[in-house]
Amino acid sequence: MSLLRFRLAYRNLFHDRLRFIATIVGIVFSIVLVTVQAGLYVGFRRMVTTMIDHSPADLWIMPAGTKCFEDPSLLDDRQRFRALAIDGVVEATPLVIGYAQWRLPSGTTTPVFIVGSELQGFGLRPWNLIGGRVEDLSIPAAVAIDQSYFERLGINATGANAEIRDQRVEVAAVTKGIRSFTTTPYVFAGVDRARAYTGIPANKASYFLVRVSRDADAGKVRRQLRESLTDVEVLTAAEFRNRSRNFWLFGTGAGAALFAGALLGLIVGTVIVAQTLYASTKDHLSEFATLRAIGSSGTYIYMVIVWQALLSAIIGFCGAAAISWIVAAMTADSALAVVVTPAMTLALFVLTGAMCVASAVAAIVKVMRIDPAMVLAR
Amino acid sequence: MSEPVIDAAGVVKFLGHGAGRVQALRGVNLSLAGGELVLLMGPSGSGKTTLLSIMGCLMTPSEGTLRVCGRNITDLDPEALAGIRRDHIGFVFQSYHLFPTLTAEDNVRLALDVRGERSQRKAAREVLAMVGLGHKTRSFPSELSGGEQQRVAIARAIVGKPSAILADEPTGALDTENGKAIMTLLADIARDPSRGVLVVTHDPRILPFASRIVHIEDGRLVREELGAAKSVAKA
Ligand SMILES: Nc1ncnc2c1ncn2[C@@H]1O[C@H](COP(=O)(O)OP(=O)(O)O)[C@@H](O)[C@H]1O
Ligand SMILES: [Mg+2]
Repeated sequence: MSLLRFRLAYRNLFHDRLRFIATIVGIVFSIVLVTVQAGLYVGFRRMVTTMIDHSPADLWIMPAGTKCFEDPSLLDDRQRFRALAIDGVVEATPLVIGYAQWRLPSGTTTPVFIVGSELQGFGLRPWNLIGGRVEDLSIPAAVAIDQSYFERLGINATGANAEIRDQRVEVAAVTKGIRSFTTTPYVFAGVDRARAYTGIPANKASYFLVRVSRDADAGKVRRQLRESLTDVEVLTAAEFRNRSRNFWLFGTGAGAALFAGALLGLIVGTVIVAQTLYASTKDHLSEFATLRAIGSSGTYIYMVIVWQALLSAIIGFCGAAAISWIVAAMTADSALAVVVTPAMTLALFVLTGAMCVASAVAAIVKVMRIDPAMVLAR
Repeated sequence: MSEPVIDAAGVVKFLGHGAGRVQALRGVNLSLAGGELVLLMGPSGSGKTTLLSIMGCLMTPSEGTLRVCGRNITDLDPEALAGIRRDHIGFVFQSYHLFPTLTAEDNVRLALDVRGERSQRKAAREVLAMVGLGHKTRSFPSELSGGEQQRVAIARAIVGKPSAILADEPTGALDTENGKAIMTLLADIARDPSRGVLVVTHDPRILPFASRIVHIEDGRLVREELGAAKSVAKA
């Protein structure tokens, strides 16, 4: 690489300060927009499957037609016994979910989402505890909630009381960062308490979490489960994750909106960079013609323009990355967490470069048409 | 006499399109040999710049042939023509065409950089010293006088050791004294028997520097005379 060519590129770039600033603002704006959309998408993706991610189940037994984790249809306990009868099924434990009303001593109510599971052995228990222990949930009326919902639920510490379905509730444990995509607060409890809070009969459950024996063939176990149980679906954790994701992110249009936003950001960015690069190239046209006249190859000239594009990309990207990290840090504990991962940052860097180089096309086409004889015109 | 550096034979050039189409050259034969400084003179619009453009491989003739260092370049594509310019030709323009964002030294280095040559700094400084600007290598064009800028342009033209230097009205924007200095420089360059210099002008003050003077009118060469300066090639 020639350093002089690079110097020419950055001098061209910085020569017109105002245009340079406009270019950088355009790139930063565009890339921050893309980052926020992509970050929201990653955040939602994680949030939507957080319960499935934290379940130990190899297979999920669910009522036929279940669309996502929050779908509240019911299974009968007899299905559980049939499942347990199958060779290779080590565990099949009930999981109870459902909406309920959380009533404060003051009388105000707010909807919550109950997640009830076995508290010992195989089950989906609260994680990331910052107050209390899982064992504390065994005492009567004990539940766990997330710290971030304290205000919504009118709670300020463990030991606080409320009511669900006219039954006492005591916050015995507190988690951090377990938030729901629907924004309805999760309330963890033992499976029996959960049935009481949601009104689900003792012989019913929302899911059965299945553990398959290590030496059994999971595919075969699943086939047998499907054959011997009726009106249910048996999904692997990965399949259930996909189904939940598809429902929330694509079924609801939330994902499409995020992609549209990101695409818009890219288009705006490309147009702005293309516009300023083109204008800059036009301003320096006689210099490019001079380069051509003194015998530079086409590639040499294009590289000057591509360097200008890449330099803009690097500077713009750094600004955008800094802002994105700030946004990520600020929203980390909010309902709309923008998640910025290193892989995403890298991908965005490549994207910014690609966007800027694509923007150089118009300028390069302009330069390709240059007639070196114009340097003699005056 | 050695083989000409540039040789134009029967060159015809049409410029423009449609109603604006003009025949700028009507069959020109002109060759430039190493060691001579040829002046191309003629009234405005007579085709001087067009002829210089063709001899400098900035454009190709509509008819006729052009040879540069023995190679027929008549049918080359723009990229190959750029290669010929890079290897054989240095230009000096009336309006200098320096890069305003680069120093004098970098402007000169650029001519080597497009050739893909390394260790350019030393060569650039040497040539700048040769044109009398050894003390201004770090100045930007805006900090230099017109005469100084034209010297930088000459340094840029000769740094790659081309076989021909083509200059279009190089003194057109300069006062008498600076113009004389520039012509002295060009005449010095033409002392090298391997290098020819072609200067387009309508400035009679330049006459004493020429080894040969060619007159063009209405796209035709009408007269040729030997100049006051002795041509090395013909001596
Ligand atoms: N791009 C062009 N299109 C049409 N006509 C042109 C163009 N460039 C020059 N001409 C015409 O060609 C003739 C020769 O021009 P030029 O070589 O520039 O003359 P000189 O340099 O001697 O003044 C002039 O009549 C000029 O008007
Ligand atoms: Mg002219």
